[in-house]
Amino acid sequence: MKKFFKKNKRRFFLSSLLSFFLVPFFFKKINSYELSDFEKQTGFKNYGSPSKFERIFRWIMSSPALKGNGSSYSPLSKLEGTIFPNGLHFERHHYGVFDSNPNNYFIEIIDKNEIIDISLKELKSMEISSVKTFIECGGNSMSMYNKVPVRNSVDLIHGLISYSEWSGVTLKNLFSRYSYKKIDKYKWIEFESFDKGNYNISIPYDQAYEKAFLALYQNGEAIRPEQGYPIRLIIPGWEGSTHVKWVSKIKLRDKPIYSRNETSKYTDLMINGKARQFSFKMETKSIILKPSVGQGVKLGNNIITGLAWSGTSTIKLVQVSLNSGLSWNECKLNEQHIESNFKRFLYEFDWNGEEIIIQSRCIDNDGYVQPSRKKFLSVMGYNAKYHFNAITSWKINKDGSVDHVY
Amino acid sequence: MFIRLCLYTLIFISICNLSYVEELSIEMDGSNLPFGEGEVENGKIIFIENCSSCHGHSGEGLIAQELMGGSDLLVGDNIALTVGNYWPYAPKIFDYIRRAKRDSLSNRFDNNQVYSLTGYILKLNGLYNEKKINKTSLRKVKMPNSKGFISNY
Repeated sequence: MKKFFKKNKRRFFLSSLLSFFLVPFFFKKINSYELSDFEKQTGFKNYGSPSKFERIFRWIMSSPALKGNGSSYSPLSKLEGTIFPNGLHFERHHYGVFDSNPNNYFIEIIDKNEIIDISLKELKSMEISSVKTFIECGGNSMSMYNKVPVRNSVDLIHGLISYSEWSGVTLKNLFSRYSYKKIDKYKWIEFESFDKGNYNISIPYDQAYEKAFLALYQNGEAIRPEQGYPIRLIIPGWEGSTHVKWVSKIKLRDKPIYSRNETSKYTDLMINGKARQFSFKMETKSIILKPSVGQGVKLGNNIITGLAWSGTSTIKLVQVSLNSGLSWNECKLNEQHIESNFKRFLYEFDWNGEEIIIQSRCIDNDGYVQPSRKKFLSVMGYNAKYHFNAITSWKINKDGSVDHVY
Repeated sequence: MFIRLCLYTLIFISICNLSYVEELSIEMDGSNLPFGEGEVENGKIIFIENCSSCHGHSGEGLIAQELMGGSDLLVGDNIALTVGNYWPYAPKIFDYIRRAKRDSLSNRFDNNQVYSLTGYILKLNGLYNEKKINKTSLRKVKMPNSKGFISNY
């Protein structure tokens, strides 16, 4: 069988690749929901929706044959500011979306000797704190590992990231309320979802205790089903796979559970054939969103804008290069005075019709500089697949069109 | 008195059963694998019926992940990461099949069926040659990549 596989390895590889990527992109018209008579008569809406002239949507990468598995990409290049609308937050589902009745929803904290049930109502009555943070899928920008630059919209290359204000109960509060003290007895916590695959992930106890919280609200309203209604684990700056949706069980443990999503997936296979495991933090990164593939540049004054973020530190500055990285110019940042791990940057430049390559790089407050693709790949290799944070280059052609180049 | 004691015992047992929820997470060493036994041949039948439409006729991959084969050395270009060459712990195959079965059937597989499938996938990878598989034999299976991970924590 092994021989058979080896012989056909190339074919298998290609077919599996094709079947995944050639799936048509489905999207529905922006929902036009039925107005009640009262709404029609008064001209008000109980729940607002975007203008009918705005056709903004997430790209969906999925297959009907594997219903519930796939992802949808945030339309980064069509948004402004930093907060993402709830309906445009990226999604990555492994086992479908679940919408469960909050009235009989409860989570269990499971110790070796006891189980504590906490109802959603109880959680909501506790002190609610908020954090503005991004969630980035560990596999965001995966196509940047390709040997040939993919000619896709920036949304489809880098769109598995979104930024929201998340509000909920910190684990610290929750544990202290139920008399769990930070003691050496526990080393890890396993968070388990109630979705069809009971998705589970292990988090080091200390880290979870300090940083994690159980979010109930996203940008002020109850978390939507596709984001984990009613409870989602949030750990600012960590990869998307640790933000367990539909949390139902919190198991205190002395070692990781070594689930599929922390061994077979979300591990980074390095050049030496060994895989980096539990690489939770998302590295410092920035992307130019405008101009990018599919958009044009006009002669004269243009504005470059994009997003920069860091799961390891906060943003210090973002620089733009107009000459393939030979020299770097500092950008304007939104909310310059606020320490944040997610910022929008702006840079004005004049284009005289020559071919140029534009890039952005982010420098964080730890002094880390976002690496070039070449430097990044010399450390990570091509098999890591996750955690791509190197510089993306856009080439502006003579006709003003934009290409993706390495 | 005796009847009353029996009654209490009965009530106690039924309450225990009611509150009993099966732990889905299997430890990496398989120490909490459930009782049961599966036949590897049976695993092949279950696989073709339920899994092959996505994972390929014998796990070579289709629209879903390949489950067998792949090069032993995880270096170089175009590496296929499969159960055989990448998964570090055999009992976790049981864990994942049981927790993540997709909607081709309405219910989860029972433990014997999961044992059968685990045995069949291990057999496809040349890692298991017995006819039957259970807790004891699954715990003994050595995965080639069990030392292939470097933890950040």
